[in-house]
Amino acid sequence: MEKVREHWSSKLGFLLAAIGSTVGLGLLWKFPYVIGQNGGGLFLITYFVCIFIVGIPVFIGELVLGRYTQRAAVGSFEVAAPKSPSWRIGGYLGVLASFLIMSFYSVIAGWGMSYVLMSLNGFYTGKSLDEIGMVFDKLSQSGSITLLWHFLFTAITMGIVMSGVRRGIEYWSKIMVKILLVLLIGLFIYSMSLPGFNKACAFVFLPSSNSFSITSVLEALGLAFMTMSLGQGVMISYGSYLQPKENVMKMALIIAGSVLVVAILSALTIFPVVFTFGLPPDSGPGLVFKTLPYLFAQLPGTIVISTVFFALFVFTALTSAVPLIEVVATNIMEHFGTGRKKSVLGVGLATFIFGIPSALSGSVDLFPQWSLIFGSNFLDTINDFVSIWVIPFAGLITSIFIGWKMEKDATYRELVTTTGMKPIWMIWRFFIRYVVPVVIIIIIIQTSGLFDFTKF
Amino acid sequence: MVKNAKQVREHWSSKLGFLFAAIGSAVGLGVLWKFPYTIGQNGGGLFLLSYILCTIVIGIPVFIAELLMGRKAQQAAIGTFTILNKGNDFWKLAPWLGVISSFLIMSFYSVIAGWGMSYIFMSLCDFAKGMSSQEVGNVFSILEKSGDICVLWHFIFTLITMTIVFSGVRKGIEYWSRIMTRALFIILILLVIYNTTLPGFSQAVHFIFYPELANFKFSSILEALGLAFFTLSLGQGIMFSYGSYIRENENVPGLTFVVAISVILIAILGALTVFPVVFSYGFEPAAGTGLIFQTLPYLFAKLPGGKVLAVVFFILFVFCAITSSVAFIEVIATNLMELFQWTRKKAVLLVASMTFIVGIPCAMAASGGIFFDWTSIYGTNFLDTIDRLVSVWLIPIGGLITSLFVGWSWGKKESYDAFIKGCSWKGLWSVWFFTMRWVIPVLIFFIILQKSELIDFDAIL
Repeated sequence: MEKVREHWSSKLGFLLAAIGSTVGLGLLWKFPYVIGQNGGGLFLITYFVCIFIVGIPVFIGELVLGRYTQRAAVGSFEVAAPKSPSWRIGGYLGVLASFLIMSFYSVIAGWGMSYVLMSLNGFYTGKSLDEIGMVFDKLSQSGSITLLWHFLFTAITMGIVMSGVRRGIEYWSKIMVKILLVLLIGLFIYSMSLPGFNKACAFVFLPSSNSFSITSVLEALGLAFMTMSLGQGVMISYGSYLQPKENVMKMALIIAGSVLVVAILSALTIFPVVFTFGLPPDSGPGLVFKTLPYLFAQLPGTIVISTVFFALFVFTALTSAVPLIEVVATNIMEHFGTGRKKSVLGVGLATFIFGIPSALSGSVDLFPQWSLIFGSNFLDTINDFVSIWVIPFAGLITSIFIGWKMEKDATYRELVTTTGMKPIWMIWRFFIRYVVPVVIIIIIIQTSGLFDFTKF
Repeated sequence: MVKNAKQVREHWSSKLGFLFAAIGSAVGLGVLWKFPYTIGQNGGGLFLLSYILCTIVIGIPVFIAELLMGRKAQQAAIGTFTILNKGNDFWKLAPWLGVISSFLIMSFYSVIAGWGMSYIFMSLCDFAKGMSSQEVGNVFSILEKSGDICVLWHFIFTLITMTIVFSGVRKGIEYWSRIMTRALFIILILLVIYNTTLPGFSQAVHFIFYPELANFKFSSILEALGLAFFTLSLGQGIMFSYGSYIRENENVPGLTFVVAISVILIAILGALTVFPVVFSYGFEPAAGTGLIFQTLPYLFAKLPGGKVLAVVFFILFVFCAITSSVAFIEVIATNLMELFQWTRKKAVLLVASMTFIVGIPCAMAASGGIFFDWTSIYGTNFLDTIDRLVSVWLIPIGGLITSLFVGWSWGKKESYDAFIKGCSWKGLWSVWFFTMRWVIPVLIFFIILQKSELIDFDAIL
């Protein structure tokens, strides 16, 4: 690790990698259904606010921390403040988040892979719309098949991380992100012609307080973190590969912008379908799989569009899963001095095993009483636990650490030398020192019911 | 390994050596098992015509291209593209698709071949004696539905293939392969001659050859194309490897024609063996994967010396499968060896055990032992799903990319130089190059367009 690190060859290389990591299942799978569950409008605004006042500052912070220390998550806390080991918990939480996310991520991505095969095999032909929607229930309730895909996705991710084909993946990633964007815009344009489009727009954009609750704020915060790949140690690693002359602020803005664009596009593609065909908007994690096939079945070239969409879905999941496994493995390598191969293999195996109950959560072959005890099935429990608790906490600790513990000069050097603008650094520092921690703490206290701020 | 690859490769000792190896790889289950039932499912006549057209217009040029590229690069599939592609990673998709196809094919191939092995023993016991056609058909259903027996044969077949690849007996196999291919040819002809006496013979000939325009569906052309690729062992990375063993002065187009024509011939013989039985005794022509197992034993039971014939036929069936499956395992293993610098032993062992594992759900596809809900989710059972994924999508798309590469990226001069080595007919090159550059991409593009339901040519025509 003392060697000079590889760096991204160009600004574009980093941007595409970062967008590849952020545009994953967070945006395509989670964002629509979380919006649906939280009643649209008001939730979307909260999400945007979270991105701007919390997401962007923390994003910059993580990149700066990584580039300054040239280490992965836990190591960066170690290097930046060698004498205070307790801060490392920020890094550990990030690694924990990556691990937990990966464990159910590959189940979801596995469903995506299954949909690629189903589309190619023409599962649409001769089925009514309702039957097409029902296929997802069958799939998620068939434990063995879900497990198969979960295994395949984990194995492919591991194979990519271990072998030298990562470069090939970056090549494809550049193409795929562009195709995805074009496809989403195309689908969006078609969705505009659906009768439910107006209703969907009203649902997505008009702030109504229906089914919006205080916990929704925490969910919006978690979603902002999740969709920007924050609080998972990913951006710290990415920062360490970033060249010193790169303007971090600008990059953060570009990435936040593209996250927002893709998020809105995916919401505006899915919800018109939901309202046109009278599907429930709050149907949870299966939303993408249940609704989009309705749309595809309407379109000419069903098989191609459906196959391409789900192939892109899987591909974006892959570009996000690679850093998740890398982060956990790199930290283990740096910490225990194990070889790369061994670490990756160990991490992949561990996430696979830990993902088994998630894969079987629909079929209830394992932990049949889970939903009765915890209120939601295993996959949802882990998913909620990560995005509502682990990631925001990791972000909180990271922001406090960067704002209060890291040398002021270091962040100054990292940011002002590249932007040349001192005021921006001051604003960022104000946010990371005061705004971010205060906002996160208020949200956490409110949600945990310790104190009710709405009384004011 | 890279160093090894630079060494002078072994080459086929003679033209005949290559021909038999190529025909041996091509004449496998594709021709004997897949061809009859696919024809049956797609309504005969016109489908055969589209199959032959696809073989000539698309199959032969791609076959030539794969051989030439392999000979030029002296590498297996992935290595060939790495050497020839001038740094554009896109083209590598073709050999990767090929290796994946080989892998998936091998996984269900050994299940089918395993059924064949089972039928050798069943024939030894005269199982079909005195049974009605319905009962003979039912025996296959019982076999297919007993997952454990299928897994057993699947295991044995994979093991035999692996042993052959491992040990030095490959040479011996090649020796036997020549004899067996001839024997198969003779048996098929004998069976066809007997079939002419059956009442359903003329109906079968009509079914196989008469292009009933009313039945024509543009959508079945992709099926025909996939079958053409499948039966010629194209798009599976195999012919790149074979090409790398061909001498510089060998006439590649000439060899290709011989292979293509023998494949078509044997395929038609196979169909003429199966369908007269189908029509004479009231079998269902669209019965699917089990067609050959359901019909032929009934025929054998009626023949004098049927027991011997049946045993010999299924031995040949299994033998053909072995020569192809050896090629599959070799090709995948060679690519992995060149790619990851693995030893041969490790690569072969890994590939064989992986294909065995992936093949387990194929073996249990009908019994529903694993992935019980598979059919209700994907529309076809596990084996058929994998089979269709490979022959309808992966192989044609791999072929498309190969033809695009040759036509647009390899370079006119390079392909010309490679082409005229051993083939003095220069005019043929222009035809071939034009086909690779325009005809094949456009045709495959239209075929995929139809299959994807973007445009329905069935409705237009």
